[in-house]
Amino acid sequence: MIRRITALFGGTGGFIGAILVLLIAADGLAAPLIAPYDPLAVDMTASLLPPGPGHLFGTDQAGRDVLSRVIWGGRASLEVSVLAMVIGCVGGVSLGLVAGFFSGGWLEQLLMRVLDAMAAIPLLIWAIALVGILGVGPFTVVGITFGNEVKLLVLLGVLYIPTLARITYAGALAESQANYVAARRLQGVGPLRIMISDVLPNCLSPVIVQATLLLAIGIIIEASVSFVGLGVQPPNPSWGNMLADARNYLFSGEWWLSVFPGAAISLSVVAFNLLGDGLRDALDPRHTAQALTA
Amino acid sequence: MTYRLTRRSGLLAGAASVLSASWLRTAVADETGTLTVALSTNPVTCDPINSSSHDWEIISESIFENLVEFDIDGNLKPQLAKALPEISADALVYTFDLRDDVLFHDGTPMTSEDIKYSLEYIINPANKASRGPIFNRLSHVETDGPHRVHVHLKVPFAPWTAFLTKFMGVFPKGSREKYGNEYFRVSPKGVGTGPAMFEEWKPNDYISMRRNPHYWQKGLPHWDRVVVKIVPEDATRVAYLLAGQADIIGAPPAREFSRLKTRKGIQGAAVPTFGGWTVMFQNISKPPFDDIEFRRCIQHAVDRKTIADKIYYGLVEPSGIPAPASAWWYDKQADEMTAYNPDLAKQHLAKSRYPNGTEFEMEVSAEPYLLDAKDAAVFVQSELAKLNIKVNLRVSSSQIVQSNIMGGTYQSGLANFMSPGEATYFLMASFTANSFMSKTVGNFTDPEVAAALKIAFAETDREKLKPVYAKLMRYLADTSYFTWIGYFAAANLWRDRVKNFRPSRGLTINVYDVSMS
Amino acid sequence: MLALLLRRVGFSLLSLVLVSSCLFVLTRAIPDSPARIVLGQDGTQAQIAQFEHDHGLDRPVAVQYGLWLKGMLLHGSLGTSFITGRPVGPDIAATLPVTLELVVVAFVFSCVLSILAGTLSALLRDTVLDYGTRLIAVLGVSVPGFWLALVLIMAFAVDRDWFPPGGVAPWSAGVLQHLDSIALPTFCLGIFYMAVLSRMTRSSMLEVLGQDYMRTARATGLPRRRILVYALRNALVPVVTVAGMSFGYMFGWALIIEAVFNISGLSGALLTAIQQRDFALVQGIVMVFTFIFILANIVSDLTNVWLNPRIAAVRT
Repeated sequence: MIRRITALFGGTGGFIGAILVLLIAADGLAAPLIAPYDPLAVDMTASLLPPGPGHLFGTDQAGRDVLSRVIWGGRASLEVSVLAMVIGCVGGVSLGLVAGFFSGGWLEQLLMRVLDAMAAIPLLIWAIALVGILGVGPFTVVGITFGNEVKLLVLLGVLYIPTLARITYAGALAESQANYVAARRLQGVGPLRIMISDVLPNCLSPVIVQATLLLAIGIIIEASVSFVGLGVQPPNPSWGNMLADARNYLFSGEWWLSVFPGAAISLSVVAFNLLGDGLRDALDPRHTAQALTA
Repeated sequence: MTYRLTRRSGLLAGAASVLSASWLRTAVADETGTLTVALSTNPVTCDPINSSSHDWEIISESIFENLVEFDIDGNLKPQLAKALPEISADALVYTFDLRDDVLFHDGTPMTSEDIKYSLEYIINPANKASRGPIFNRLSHVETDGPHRVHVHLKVPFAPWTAFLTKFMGVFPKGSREKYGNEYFRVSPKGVGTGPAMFEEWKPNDYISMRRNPHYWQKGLPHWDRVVVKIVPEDATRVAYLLAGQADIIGAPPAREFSRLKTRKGIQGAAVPTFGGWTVMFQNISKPPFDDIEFRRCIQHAVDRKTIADKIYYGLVEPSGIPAPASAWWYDKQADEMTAYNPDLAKQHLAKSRYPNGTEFEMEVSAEPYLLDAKDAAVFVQSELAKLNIKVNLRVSSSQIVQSNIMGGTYQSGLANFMSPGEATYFLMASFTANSFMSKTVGNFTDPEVAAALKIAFAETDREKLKPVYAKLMRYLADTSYFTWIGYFAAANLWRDRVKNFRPSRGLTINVYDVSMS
Repeated sequence: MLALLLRRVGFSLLSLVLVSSCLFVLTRAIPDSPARIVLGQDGTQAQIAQFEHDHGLDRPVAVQYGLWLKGMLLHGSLGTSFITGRPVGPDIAATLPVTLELVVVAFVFSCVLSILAGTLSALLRDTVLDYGTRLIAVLGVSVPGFWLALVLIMAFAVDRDWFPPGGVAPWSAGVLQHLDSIALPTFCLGIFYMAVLSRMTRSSMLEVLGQDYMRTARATGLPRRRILVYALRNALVPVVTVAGMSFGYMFGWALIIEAVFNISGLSGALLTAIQQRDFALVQGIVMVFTFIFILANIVSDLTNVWLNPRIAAVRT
């Protein structure tokens, strides 16, 4: 039984990754329920307490509970990396699918050239520069105010599109020339229907693998951008801006300020990587070696 | 074979780390003639008449000098003049006798013509010196032989001599026309008289100065070179100090200051400034701060003592009025009118236009200018949240924050602002129209402040001035234009090898007398 | 080969034009005029109009873009900084070498070590060496570089006196001292890519070694060394592609590493320019990085063609 479950995730590593990812996701979704304190509640009388029974991870310079901030910070990190991935997948898969399915036409040429141009963009530099150009701070669109990190996640998502589109394109190109697609065509099924119900499911595996790895990258990018002050804005916690604050306490020995958010980043990145590798073994065993960088 | 390869590369890595070990470091530290100072902000200019950062006035104050100097203890002392000025009975003419042994860095001797040129250059509005308006009560300068000048004022204005050190300098006659202002901004070579001569400005990295071999104070300076490095990150700046990459640092992190100054090889000291505001600026030309009841609410909602003790660890002395407790113009009763009192804050809020709370933006600098302001801003934000007032922090570089605050394009801003340390300066700048900080409060002349200043400019007897200031302070406490939090201390950390160094009441690091062992 | 090169260069130029026009429109589309930011405190309406006129900001975006392109093509000029009023080209040229050096050293270090470690770990599968490499690969991708940098500064620059805590010593201060000062930053910059590339090399190598033709080659008794070289040539193809992209990406991470180590390079200058809202400089720097990124990708493609000439046929 356990064997079969682990096999679903491509082995023990993938299984452990899946469990960790589940825990992290639960942390993100249930942050308001599980965080012992309000992550923004300042209490100057309780500043910089070391980890102890009252505050398991200690408190920061403003007396805020580090554990609660790590939990809520995870929510912010996941929000950025998951939503960016969703934007990237929706955009990338649909473009890649269309280009691959309608291969040989002007549409394919146009789409692929635009994607090529987008792929010529170094991710982090552009994300940072564009957030900088748009200005740091909350912004309002049609009456709804969004946090600064929403800019980051939209930009990241858009910049993910070419990577995911190319993968989908390769799959869709191969599938759309397969015999079964020709058979469906002969049956008189419409091209849109074939594309969505036949071709799409068959080229999703590598996309899922890649998307999982993108989640890991998204977490690191969010942390780094928040670290330089262009991501999640204070007082809202994110792992990156917690580490930025912790810098001021490097020499005075308040290790808990930097260790816990740092460990949270590492743990989630490892989790998504393990899951991604596992899924690749499980879903896409014929894979050619590939890796993602940013 | 493959195994051997990795082992060799491991050995190589090991060898590299040994090579790079401490003997290399000591070789660097032995360069005794160079004094390295690390500051947290980025310089904008070397030109004293446009100076914008008290941190970076270390450059203009080391290169340029003036008739008199406001020294590190906050006393007026002769510098290029032989003695303090003689003041005429109507307080309108100041006579200075000049030293006759002063040379500019290009070797030409300094005379009364240069003094006249420099002073009249800065007060001429056409020259657009940003610090010009501070001196706009000066009328003209009359030379009386090569070594004597009479400075004529339009109206009595006692404080002007205190501003000469920070916001002006003496440069050779004709030099502005000859070199242009950009030259003074980025490479003022040959145009100063100070102990240091400009050497190089490497943007985002450092500004360096060389020893002036013809300096008029014989035997000074003791160093060969001063390198002023830009190190914005607190942790990195402290690391520079601990590792010997910097000899003196500015803006030490408040929390670590007390611990670091007792560390082996490191010394530190803090002195209260007379002119360093830790303040929440409020733009009363914009809602919600146009509502006096709302301002009074904020006034009583801010717990100054907690900010001073828990965030600044004693490096800020709490005060709710523009006077430090240790200064002669302080008024206890006025300070008590602003005391922390959440109930009173609620009452004022109820009387304001925003009984159910509101929101506003608060500018705060990303990197510490003088002292970090972010933690204090987060604290104020959480305190006001209890009153249902939402504060949106806008974090940007200190230049942007300053420009927004001084340009009036802001709602509120929590900042540390430094002045020469004299009672009238900030009041004059903020509460009279068309001054450089007028737009900060909303560009108007407050009649109460103007009346008090008029008396202060003509009178030098402190005992006679005290009741005037007491009345003024109570008025400012009541109107609550700004929410004053306190006065910050000038704090520095330095390595043992630095001798004869003390933090300055004027905050700017002063290296005139410093030597190194 | 030449056809491939020309084709790639052509498309890259097209990409650059598209990408730069995007950037241009975005920087001009923000509501607050740079004039407001630069003139700050005392900016009158007339001064703002003057500033916008001086910097050509009062013209239509398309015209501005045209002028910018023209300036770049004819005079190699990247525009004029809003803050300092100086051309941004020389400022970029002055700070690029430091960043370039950091990135090149980190790149070479991570490529050499990762290809070595990845190959060995594939050859000596399931040995201590293999596990060690894989562990480092996992740690390398999961520890954020800036955090590692802080820890290393604490451990080796403050507690021990081995490396300086920040800054880059100029070559004039001595070669050893210079290398010493770039050791920690390049390590922090390179470790992530070392992890990624060694993992890739390992899996790609395993894949190639498992192919039928490799078994055949071994069975026919070809010398081990020739087999190894042949396997590497094939296994490195995907690694080179990723390495090429990594080179460009490193400039992004250099931004954070330069901030932590207080290095005044081009990446750090980007951060300062963003904080000062000097869009002309931001635009110039981003274009330089994008150009480098595209160039690195072309070079990696050409390297792959050299490694495995069959690719050229496929790609053209």
